[in-house]
Formats: sequence, structure tokens, C-alpha cells
Amino acid sequence: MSVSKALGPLLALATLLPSIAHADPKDDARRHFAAGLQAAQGENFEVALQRFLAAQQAFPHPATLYNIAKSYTDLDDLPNALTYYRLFRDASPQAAGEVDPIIAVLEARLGQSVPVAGAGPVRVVGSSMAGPTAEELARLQGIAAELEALTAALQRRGEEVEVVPSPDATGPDGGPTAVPELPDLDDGGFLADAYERVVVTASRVGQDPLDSPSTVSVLTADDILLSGVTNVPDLLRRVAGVDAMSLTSAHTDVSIRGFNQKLSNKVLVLVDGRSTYMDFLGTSMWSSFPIQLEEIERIEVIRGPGSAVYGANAVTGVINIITRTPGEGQQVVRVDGGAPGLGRASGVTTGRIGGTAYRLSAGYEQLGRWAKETDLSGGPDSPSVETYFDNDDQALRVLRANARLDRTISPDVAVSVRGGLSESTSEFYPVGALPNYGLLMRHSYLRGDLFLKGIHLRSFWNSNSGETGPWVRYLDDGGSLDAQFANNVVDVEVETPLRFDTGSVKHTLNVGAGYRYKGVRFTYLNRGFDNLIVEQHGKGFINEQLSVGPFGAVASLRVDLHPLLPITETLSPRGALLLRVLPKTSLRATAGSAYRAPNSVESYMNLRLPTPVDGVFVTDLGNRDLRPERINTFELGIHDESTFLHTADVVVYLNTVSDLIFLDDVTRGFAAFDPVGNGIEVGTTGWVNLPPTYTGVGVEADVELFPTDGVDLFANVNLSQITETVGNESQRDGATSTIKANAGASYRTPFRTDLNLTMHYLSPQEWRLRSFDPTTLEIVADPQQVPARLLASARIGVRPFPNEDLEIAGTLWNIAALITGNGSIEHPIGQPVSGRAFGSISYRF
Amino acid sequence: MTHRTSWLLPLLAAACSYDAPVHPDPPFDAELNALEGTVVFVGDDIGPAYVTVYDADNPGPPIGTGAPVTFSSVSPSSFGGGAGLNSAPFGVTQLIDGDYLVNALVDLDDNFSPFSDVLAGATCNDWIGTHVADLQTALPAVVALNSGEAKRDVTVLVSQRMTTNRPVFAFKDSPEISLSASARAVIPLTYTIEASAASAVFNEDISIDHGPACERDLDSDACGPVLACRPCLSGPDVNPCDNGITAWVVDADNDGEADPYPGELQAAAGIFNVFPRVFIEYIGEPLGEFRFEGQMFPERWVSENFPMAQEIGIEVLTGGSAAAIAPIGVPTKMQQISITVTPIFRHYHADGASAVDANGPYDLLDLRENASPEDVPTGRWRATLVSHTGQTWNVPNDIGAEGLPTLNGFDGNTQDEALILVP
Repeated sequence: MSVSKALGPLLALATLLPSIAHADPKDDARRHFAAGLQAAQGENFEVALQRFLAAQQAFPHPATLYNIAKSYTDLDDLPNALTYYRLFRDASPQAAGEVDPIIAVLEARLGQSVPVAGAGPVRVVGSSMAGPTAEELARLQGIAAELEALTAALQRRGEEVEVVPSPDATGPDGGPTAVPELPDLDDGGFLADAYERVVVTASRVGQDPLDSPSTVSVLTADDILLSGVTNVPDLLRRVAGVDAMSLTSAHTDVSIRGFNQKLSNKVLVLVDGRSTYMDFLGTSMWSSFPIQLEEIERIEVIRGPGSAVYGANAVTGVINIITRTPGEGQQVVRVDGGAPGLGRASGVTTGRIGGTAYRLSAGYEQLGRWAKETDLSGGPDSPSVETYFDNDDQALRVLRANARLDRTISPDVAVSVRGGLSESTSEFYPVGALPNYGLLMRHSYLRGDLFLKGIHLRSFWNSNSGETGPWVRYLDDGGSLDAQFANNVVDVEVETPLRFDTGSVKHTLNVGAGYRYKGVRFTYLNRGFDNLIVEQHGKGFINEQLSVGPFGAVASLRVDLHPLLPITETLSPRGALLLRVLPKTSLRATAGSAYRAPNSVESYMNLRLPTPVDGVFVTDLGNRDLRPERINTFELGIHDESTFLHTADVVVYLNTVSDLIFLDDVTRGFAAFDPVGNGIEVGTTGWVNLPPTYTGVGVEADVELFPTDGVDLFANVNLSQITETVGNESQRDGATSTIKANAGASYRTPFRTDLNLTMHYLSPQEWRLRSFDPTTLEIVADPQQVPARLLASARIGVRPFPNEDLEIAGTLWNIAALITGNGSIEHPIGQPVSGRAFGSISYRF
Repeated sequence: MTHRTSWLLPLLAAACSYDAPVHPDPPFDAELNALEGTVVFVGDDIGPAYVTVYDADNPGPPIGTGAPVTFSSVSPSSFGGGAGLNSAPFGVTQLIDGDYLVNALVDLDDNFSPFSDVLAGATCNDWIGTHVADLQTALPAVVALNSGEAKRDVTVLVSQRMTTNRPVFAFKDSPEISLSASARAVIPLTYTIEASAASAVFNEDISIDHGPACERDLDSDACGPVLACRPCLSGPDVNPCDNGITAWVVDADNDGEADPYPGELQAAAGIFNVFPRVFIEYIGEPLGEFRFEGQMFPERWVSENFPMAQEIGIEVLTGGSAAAIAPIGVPTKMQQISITVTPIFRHYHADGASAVDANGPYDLLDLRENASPEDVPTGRWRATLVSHTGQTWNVPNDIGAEGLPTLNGFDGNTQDEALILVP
């Protein structure tokens, strides 16, 4: 029997049971909602009703409740219409003024009284219906059962019936939920706006991806859940153009469109719009984020320069992790355990107390090391080395806690306060030739947002402190590279997103300004840990987006006041032209420029770098005359959502990157003994702008398919090449894979079982690592190979009980490594990436 | 136990019982060894100390010609003690398996640098010493290291004060040696070197590039351009020693006769144990490297020359008695000595078949017997003198290479001259 014949009945069964199966429920809901609207326009209200009910069951939305009510009305089923109008009103209290009259009319017709809205969760049961006839009773019993199922679905989806604000309404930077706009009820028709895709990161305002001036990929909470990943970087591997490179189990460097490196520094990572960039190192430490995976609503990945919107360091892209709005979703408790050394426990609770919505989370995570340098327990009695942490088998151990409170005081005033902290021990690779390090890090943040009559005032404080040093060192090394650090960033920003029309031109204008304080104390910097280095920055930006019919244009400009850079070097413009060639298909041409400011290490370093000879060191000096790294990008893209069965992106881009910052050759000197450095300084090195210009060209094609309920498919491919040019000489920079491809499938079966398979492929890389040659005192670039790699992962999740509160899941990550026992490296000096096999138990209530 | 919690335990057990695999090819070689111990310094003045580690099979001067495999430094501030006996801890790391000799130098005049051949040694007034098995016998001891171990309690006794300067020299005339003539000669050809007053100049002023005395600080303008800033210099004042080449015809048994060279072949050839030792090495075209038994070696052409054959009245390679022209058994300052070129060369290369030593396998080419002058590279050769204290000097050297200006009457250009071998 052929495979297709064997699978045929199963596939047929699957298509027959679509109503309770969802891969990404929102995509299913979107498709049903669109089909319902189409049926309603054809006055086929029975079909419309069934579609709207299916949409609501897949992913609740107030507009769907309204359309269900409207469908019942058109079918002359007034009791059910009344029920759903009431549900709509409770879900959208701001619409009460307009929907209450309808309810009043229906109640009068049916002889019912008006319940008190907003008194608590609406429990829709059959007994609440009064005076039914026998026929109506049977009908209502069916409705009751349906609504019971609806309620269960709502609970399962983490949505209380009483409050159903659209997750899409989350503020541009994760601020308090924007007050939803009142639905237009005047026309008496169906609401057309629900499940719209909204992205907020490209322009700092919510917009349709079709109108985005940059290429945007969105990863949803369901992507996180179904993929089984335990950290965000591993999820990012599936995004076209994104390169996630793990050197240790605890530390993954993420880049976009190439230029990845140890301590990747060209992608700006935000959490709800708050920068996580550690300016003193020039990177983001993903494991220190105090949020739990379970509180992430979605992750937006902007490919292309973002300095015009976010300032420095958004060179090749922006990743914005957007958390769930407080009050939304369910309580979640989850425990994971498995190999290698993987342990995880997390809890998230959310709800409302009076008018204040809250979300609290806490968790613990640990990961085993993929490899260790030596087995100290099996070595000589008196080993020459020791490890930074006593536990030489653990790459990560982190405790996290996070809290957020939102309160909408009035339709014009809302506040949000949030904070979090984490304490972690982890293993990472620093820049240059330094070996793997141990890091004890304490991270905390505090943030406040005020929305006042269209003005958004935001402030946050980020704090990072801790200790670090080589993971393995000789006992008598004396800890010469051990370091302490303390970094504080205070950022205040105000912006005024305005929407207005001038004639037929629609404008969205966003103007803002801000101030940032940076204070850093770091052993590696000038005068050591006791010296507080302070920088004060200013910023101003304007972003104008206009549309006339099918045409759109975006113009953005940002300027930063940087203490070490002339203002002309921080100017970051961006412009885009958009054309809606079809209602759901847009063409885009974007040109932009971005920069990376030298970080504290590059500007202020004063470190004696050990050499293989104990008595000799090289002094590494910061350079305050560095120019910022600069990227200029031009890209053409097409974004297509012309059916509800797919989304597709194709982008062609051209990047030119200049002034990359790296260590220079050693300037040799006849130095004598340095009592401070306890050795002989053989020479000095420093940070310089490299002369080459890098030209990157590439094409990214990305498609997502939602063929039927419960099934999500995605595939993308990225072809790219980066060329290094100095004068008239050019050569390929092979550190970026020429081909990167991802594919995956998710299927939430009708049997309370979810399946997921994901694959990532990267073609071989050739790195030319710059390292110090102590014999020649020169920085040399040795070509080193990273073979092609295929990383496949699978997950199965089962909810054994009908209420689906409890889920038991098993995940195999990097299956090839699990089978062979040999992982691939992702960087020439990185550790082989091990497989992970672990189980999870989660309980949602 | 409930049904639900029964799932938890295996998960948690798997997470907690993890033992990471050892990296198959770790970037950090944890198999390297370390040694640590104490530098014991007999003296009142303190300077930075340098602990040098030699391959026991390739010892440094004056025993051999080896260079240190590594070294570490000890800050003066880490010395403690008093009353003429000070001690400080030291550590040396990243040593491959093997046997080692450990020496130390206390650099009182603060002019030691391993990266300049005119600074990489003890100068007058510095103190030197070696690792000893115990302080009573003060005999050099070999340290064996294996399998990533750390050997502790290595004591280096620094008790010998340098009372002479390095054998700074220049060629008296630009010497050109004919290999053909040397091969045919019954008495090999000679060249002459002479000592120079430059020794004192270098002792005092060689650190001319140290720059202003300041702590490196990016916020200070005191050092001028930051990349030119040098560390602080400090050190006690020392008296310059007399200059000259210390010649010593060894008479260890005090029988009034020169002792034979401590090598059977040389002794059989009638060579006496005379300091300084003299070596010449080809420095013409780059010769490349070769791998032997897992280690990389430079290809080299080396020959040992012999000093004072004329002065002590012997015929090198033909035997004879030492005359009383030079005092026997008494180190004597000389301003000029002759060097006799022996037509025997060692060619270290991958296919060397004669023997193997610490520099790798080599062929022995004797122009009188099994080789012709065409077999030996001609052009520039460097001469190195090693005094009985282990102090060395070679020409050409960094002074010539750096083109330093004439200092206190010393012509730096003489330090760029080389011994020229012609066919």
C-alpha cells in the first residue's frame, strides 16, 4: 500500500474534523471570519453564522460576538441574538452606549430584563433564557451546549469572557492596552475588522503589515508553545534572514542578514519596546530577560535598519518581544525536565483587581553544558586548572520574576508600571580571542508608562551588575581577567502619535524626543571598576506615514546626541514607497541607513590582555575617536495576504556596511616591567574602524500556509552573499551562510494532541577569525570552517482531560545530535550543539 | 503519589543528574600543566623578577644554547621578607608534558625585555638563580610535568649577582669567511671581535623607548597620544660595571692546565673548555619551518666557533696544548679576541639524518670530509657570544635592525653587521 493511500483516510478524517482543531488559532479564526463576512454579504446567514461561531471558538473576539448576534438577528433567532449582543457588550463595555438600545429592543420583544453589565464573568447557561417554547427550548439547549463549549474554549484559550480586548490592541511598545475604538454600529451591518494582523515595531505605531515600511515577521505565542523551544533565540531560527548561532548552551548570538559574531551587536532587542541592549558590552543577554516564555504574546522581527525609529544599534534589524496584556489569558504553571541538564519551572498569573489589571510571573531555568574542557574529577590529583563556577556541568541557572500593573483611569488616561529582575549564572563567549567566560549577572528593570490624551510618556531603568571571568583558568593565573561590572541606564521618552487627514491624504505622524543616561563601572574599562563612566544622550525622531488610495509613503528621521559622536554621524533617515497592487497585496521600496555606536568596551577599554606567556601582556585600549558602524540598505519587497490561506513575503535587499569596529594589530614597544600589570607589556592594541566595505545582497522568500483548521505550514529561504572590498580587491566573506532555509508544520489534531516538526538548514560557512598571534604580534585572520548543518526538532503535546487544562508534552530538539551523539558547531570555536530531549507538564486554569 | 506528580520526578531527575561530556577538541587545552612556587631572593634591593622555564633537554646559557619555553614575572611589591632574604610566589602555566629547568632573574636595573635580543638577559647588577632541590645543596633540579597537573612548591633560589656586563661586541673588521678556504685550511680561518664601551650605554639607556613615566590612563594627557603611552618605570640606581668580554679558560680541577671541552667530540679534537662560547647561525633568506614529532621547528644552519685559539696557542681541530698567553682558570676582561671558524655545520631540517637534539633532527656537514662549500648557505650569519655567566650578546641585533642612533660614542651601525660567508 502506498503512503498516500495509507494516509488518505487519515487526511480525510482530519478534514472532516476541523471545528475544534487549531494550529495557530488566530489564523483559523481569521479564515473563518473572512468566510463568514463573505457569506453574510451574499445573505447566506446560516453559513455566515457557522463561520462566525467557528471563528469565535478558535479565537474569541468582540467583533465576532457582534457578528454572531447579527447573524442570529438576520436568521430571526432573537433569543440567541440577544445572548450574543449581551456577550458583545460585556466584552466591549465602551460599546455599551450603542449596543444597549439594540439589547433593550430585543429584551422588550422577548420580555426580558436588562442584566447589570460588567458585574463579573458572564456565564452563559441555558437557564438564563426565559419563556422559550418547546421548540425554542430545544434550540436553546443546543445553544447552551454550544455556549458551554464556547466558554470552555474561551477558558482554554486563556480568555475570560468578561474582558476580551484584542491582543492586537497592545500598545506600540507594549504599553497599556490602548482603548479599543468603538465599532461602527450605525450601519447595522457586520463588523469587518477582526483578527487583523497588526505590527507595531516598524513604525512605533500599530499598522497593517501591508503598510509596513520594513519587512516584518511575527512569531506568536502558539509558535512558542507548539515548537517546544525553551528560549527565544531558538525560536528565531525559523525566521528568514535570521541567524541564531549558539556557542554554548546558555548563549546564542542572533543576527539578521549576516554579520553575526560573538556578542552579536547589530540587532536591537526590545521587550515591549524597552531596549535590552547592554551598551557597555554591545549586546543583549537573552537569558537575563526576566520574562517567562508563557507571558509572550508575540515577537516581531524587523529585517533591515531600524535606527530611523530606534536610534543606535538597530543596524540590521529589530526584535521586539511583546508580552501579553495584563488581565488577559490564563494562569499557567509549567515544569520541564530532561537532557542535557534541562530543568525549568515557571508560573504566570494574570487577572484584574478592580480597575487594575495585573500579570505576575516567576520561574527557574537551568541548562547543562554541551561540553566541558576537562573532567576535573578524573584528572591529576593536583590539576593545573579550576573552573569559574563550582558546577562545571551547568551552562545556565537563572531565577526570574516579572510584574506588570495596568490601569485605565479614563478613556484618555492610562498608566502602566512594571518591573522585573533576574539572577543568573551562565557561560558565554566574549569578543576577540578571549575564551569562554562564566557570568554571574543580576538584571533588574523598572518601567513606567503614562498615556495622556494621545501623549505617551515612557521611562525605564535598566540595571545590570555582576562578575565575570574565564570559565577555566590556571590556578595561579591570579584571576587576571576576572571582572566586576555595574551598568545603569535611565531612559525617558515622550512621543505623540497623531492621525489626521488632509484632504484625501491620511497621515500618521509620530514625533518624539528623549534622554538617556548611561553609567557603567567595569573592571576592563579605564581606571577599572572604581571609575564610573557616564554618558548622557539625547534623541529626537519623526516618522510620517501617509496614504492616498493605494499609494503610501513613509519618511522617518532620527538624530541622536551622543557624547563621542558628531551629530552628523547619528543621522538616520528612512524612506519607503508602498503600493497596494491588490487590496491585500503590497509592493514596497525602502531605503534606509542605520548605525551602531561604539560600545563602552570599544571606547573606554584599558585592559591588560594575557598572552600565552605568563609574564607578557598586551594592553587593549579603547578609542574615543571611532566612527560608528554604518549600514545603508535598499530593499524591494512584496507582501501578499490575498487569501486567508496564506501570507507571503519576497524581499530583495542590498546592504553596504562600513567602518566595522575590530581590534587593531599590536603596536610593539620596548616596554619594561609594569608593576600594575605584573608583567611586560609587549605592545598595545586598540579598537579601530576596519577599512573594508562590505556589500551584502540577498533574497528572502517566506510563505505561511493555513490550509485547514489545525494545520500551519511555513517555509522560507534566504540566499545571500557578502563581499568584502578594500580598494580594488574584493573577496567573499564566508561567515554568513549562502543558503539558509527553514520549514515546519504544526497540527493540532482533533484528539487533544498537538504535533510539530521544524527544520533549519544552513550552508557551510568560512570564518576568518581575527586573533592575536603572540609570535608576530599581529592580528591574523585564519580561515576556519563551519560545516553545513541541519537542525530538526519535533514536539508532541497531549491534553489528556476533556477540559484541556493539563498538557503533557515531549520535545526532541536537534534530533540528529540526539541520534548520533555528535552535534554540529555553529561557530569555529563554539561547542558542538547537543540535542535536547525533555518532557513538559503544564497546567492552565 | 498522585498520577500527576509521578511524571515530575523523572523529569527533574534527568535535569539534576547531568554530567557534561568532555569537549573532543577544546579551544582551551586543559591538558597543559602549570607549576608554581616561590622565588627566594638573597639581596636587599628588589626589582621585578622573571622566572624562565627551559626544556631540560635544551638548557639555556651557559650550559646550553636553548631559549626559554616561557616565562612569568613577579612584581617587586609581592616580595616579602627582609634582612637580605626576600621571597615571592610565582606561577607558570600552559606547559606541555615534559621535564623542565626553572631559572629566575631579578632585574634590578629594570631593563629586561624578552622581545628585544639586546634586552633579553641579565645585565650587570642583576641577580640570577635556579630552581634547586633544596636550599642546602642548591643543586639544579628538574621538574617533570604530566597530564594537566600543577606542580607546586618549586623554589627558585636567586643568589648570584652579575658582576660583569654582557659580552657586547662588534666585529673588528667586516669579516668575510671563505668556506672553500676554510675547508682546505689546516688551521681554520679566524675573525676578530672586540668588546665595546657600549655595554654601559645600553645598561643605562636602552630603555629609551619607554616613554613618559605615567600610569596608562585614557583620561590623562600626560602621556601624549594614548597608544604611545608606556608604563611607569622605576628601579634602584645601579652602578655600571666594567666593559669587556670576560674570557675564561676553565681549569676546574686547578691543575694549571686548561680543561677539555665538555663534549667528547670536541675534547677529542683538542678543544678546551673556553668561554665565551661562540655560535654562528645563518640569517640570510628565510628557511621556513618543519614539523617533527608533533612539534614545529625552524630550519636552521648553525655552527659552533671557538674563541682564543690564537690567544691560548692551540690549533683547533688538530690538538695541542694551551699556552700561557691567556691566564688559565681566571676570568679575564679582554677587549679583543679571535674566533676560529670550524668548517662543521649542523643543518636542522625535517630530513636530518645525523642525529636529533632539542632543535630537531639535523645533518652534520663537515667541509673537510663529507660536504662541499656549495652545500652551505652563504651570505649573512649572526654571531652569538655566551659568557660563563650565561649572559649573551649577538651581532647583528635589534640595535642595528632598529637603526638606533649612535649613543655615547657607540656606533650603533656596527650592530647591524653580519659575518659573511662566501663559497
